[in-house]
Amino acid sequence: MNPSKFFHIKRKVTSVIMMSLSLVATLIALVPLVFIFYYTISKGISYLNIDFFIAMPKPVGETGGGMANAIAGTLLLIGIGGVIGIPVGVMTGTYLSEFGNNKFGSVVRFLTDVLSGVPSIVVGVVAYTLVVIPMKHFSALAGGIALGILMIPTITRTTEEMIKLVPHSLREAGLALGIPKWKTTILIVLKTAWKGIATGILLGLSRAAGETAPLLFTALGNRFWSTKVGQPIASLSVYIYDYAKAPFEDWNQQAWTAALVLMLMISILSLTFRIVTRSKYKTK
Amino acid sequence: MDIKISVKNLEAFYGKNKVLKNISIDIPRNKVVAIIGPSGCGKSTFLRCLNRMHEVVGGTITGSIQVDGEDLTKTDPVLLRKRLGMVFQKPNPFPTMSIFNNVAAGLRFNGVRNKKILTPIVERSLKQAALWDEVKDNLDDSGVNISGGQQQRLCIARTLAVDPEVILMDEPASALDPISTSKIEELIFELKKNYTIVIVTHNMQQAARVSDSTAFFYMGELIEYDKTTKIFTNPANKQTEDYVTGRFG
Amino acid sequence: METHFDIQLAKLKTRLFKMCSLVDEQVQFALRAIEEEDMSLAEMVVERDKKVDKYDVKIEKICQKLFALNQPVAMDLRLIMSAMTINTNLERIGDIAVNIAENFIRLRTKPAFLEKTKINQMSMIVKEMLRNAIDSFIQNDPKLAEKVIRSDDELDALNAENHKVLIEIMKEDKESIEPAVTFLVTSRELERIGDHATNIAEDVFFIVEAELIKHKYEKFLFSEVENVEKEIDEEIDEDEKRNGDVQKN
Repeated sequence: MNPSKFFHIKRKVTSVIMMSLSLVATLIALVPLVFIFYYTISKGISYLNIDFFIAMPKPVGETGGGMANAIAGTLLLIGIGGVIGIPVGVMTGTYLSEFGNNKFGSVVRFLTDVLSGVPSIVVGVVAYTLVVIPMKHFSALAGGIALGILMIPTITRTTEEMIKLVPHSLREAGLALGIPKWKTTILIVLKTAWKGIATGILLGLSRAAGETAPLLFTALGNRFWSTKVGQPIASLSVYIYDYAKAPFEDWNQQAWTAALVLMLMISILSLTFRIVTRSKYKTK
Repeated sequence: MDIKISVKNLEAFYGKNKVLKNISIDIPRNKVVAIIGPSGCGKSTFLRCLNRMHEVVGGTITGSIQVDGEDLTKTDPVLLRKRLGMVFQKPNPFPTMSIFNNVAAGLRFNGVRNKKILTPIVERSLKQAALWDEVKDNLDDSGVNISGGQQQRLCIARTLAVDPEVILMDEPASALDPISTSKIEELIFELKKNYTIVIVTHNMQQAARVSDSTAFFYMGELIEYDKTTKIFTNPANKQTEDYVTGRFG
Repeated sequence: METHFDIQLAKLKTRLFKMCSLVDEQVQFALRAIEEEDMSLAEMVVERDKKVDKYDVKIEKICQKLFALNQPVAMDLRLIMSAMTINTNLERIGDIAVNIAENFIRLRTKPAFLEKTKINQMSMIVKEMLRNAIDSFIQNDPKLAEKVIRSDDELDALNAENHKVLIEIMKEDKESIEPAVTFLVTSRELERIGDHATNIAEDVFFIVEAELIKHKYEKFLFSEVENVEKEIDEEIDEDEKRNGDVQKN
């Protein structure tokens, strides 16, 4: 056979094999995802009704009721977490990418990486030591701080990476127009990278919304309606944890519904972010 | 000769690396001076020194650079850069801003927010950059949704809006097609009536076409600086002759 | 779009047009000086040659600059190349006008035998050829150029006839040898003007039709130029091979 023709066929065969392998890998990755969705929706949908959103939990033995307090609690907790985590994360990321090309910068970068690898329960223990012990009781604030700390590494690293993606030429363009460096950084660089940073923030918030372990030591949980920052507060994730291991069939079902609601909340959050940060201009 | 920029014994360093060696050159007012030379000869660094953009990439200089007799190494770089605007190799409009806001950026970010003041300046700048007719109906469109050549003229308009005295161009047409290139070159002929222009280019023909004087840099040294006609018909230096005739190295 | 280069080209054309009318006038005046036995007019022709020379130098410089700085191609390249040769031809015609005038200044009077020669007729044809050559260049008209090229044969014939007539006159009358020799030269000079006018016409053809028809029209006037070109190339190649002129590349 003509050698060039042989290699041509060989190349084609290799291409087909590699394409198939990639496809198989993608399918394997999809399997658990589909199962999670399927189980959560099919098991949780039966208890999903208006009551779940507006009613309070019923005492043991009574069926029905909802998790209004836990939904509000989760929102408040990630709100507090966001207020702490977003500014600190974004500013640290900005510092690292714009000014962090020195020893201090690499130390901060290293510590951020370590922090992102720390088990969330450890963060809970730290918040417990720093906030709960001095205040002498569990509180939403302590939970929020714990969640905020957990968000920081994600937001910091995404911000840094996103800002690094902004072409150097844009910074130079700003500076060459006689715009001071700090204004160039905020009004041009951060604005250009904003979409990517928003994705990072969203990842941070989503992760925080699903955290259970740090909340056990900090926000604790609450069977009643509370939005007081200084008091223990309920949250969906802790409810899921409690109800799923409870010996009552009814509670187990409600745990599934809580999981479904948590997923919906994150989806809505994600969608809102997409819409808010959508570019004013159509890109080609 | 009416001197706009006077450079004396300029040396530039990146760290310990000396990239410009004892450069002395006078740039006349309302003329176009082209800087040519092979890659790495220091021509871009020289241009950056003129509005202290070399500091942004960590360079240091010794010697003196005077603009209208004023030593610019002693002035605030932020103020200086309004007087010596810069146009870069690749068009770099701000992607998050409209065409209008791109042109107005230099003024808006320095506190001019009144639209009544900005509108005529934006219009004037776009007209000067020969872009007005092409974009006047879509000033609110994104600055990056126009063609590369238009983007580069937008960047020139943006530079003109802050009313500079000198325009520094760093290979302004090297990323553009021939038609856009000739538009930029024609623009340079127009602009030199009101501005002093220093243009770095690796395209010798471009230097020949647009400039009044040409400086040839090699290995960080100024080899020859003379009228463009002289450089391209009868250069005094052998190295210059070899370079402009394409016999280099 | 009128570019900076277009403006420079227009400038070159204007200069060349001015030189055309100047040279045309020189020839007219030189011939009229003989016609009217006007010594002051003849002296003026000699004097004004300095002006022709100045134009010659100026146009040469413009062409050099255009070549060096603009790298002309296609139509522009042909125009500038032709401008240079047309310029040279015009300068030669100017010199010939001076020769004619100077010869007549030495003679001072028009001899009686002039009626018998065809000098007058030649003057008319030369004036018309020159006019047509210049007009064909100014109006970019290859038809007119073709007319010039055709007239050249007629001129050559008249020149030959003049030779015969003048030699006869010299044989008959020894007194008339000096004026007859002068007009023998003048007849030749007129024939030379015709040659230069033909060269100009060929250049016009080159500018407009992009075909080098030089020295080809005798064989095939304006037809199958390509075949002739090939023939000439082969002839030259063979010559060079025979003489060993070509160095191995």
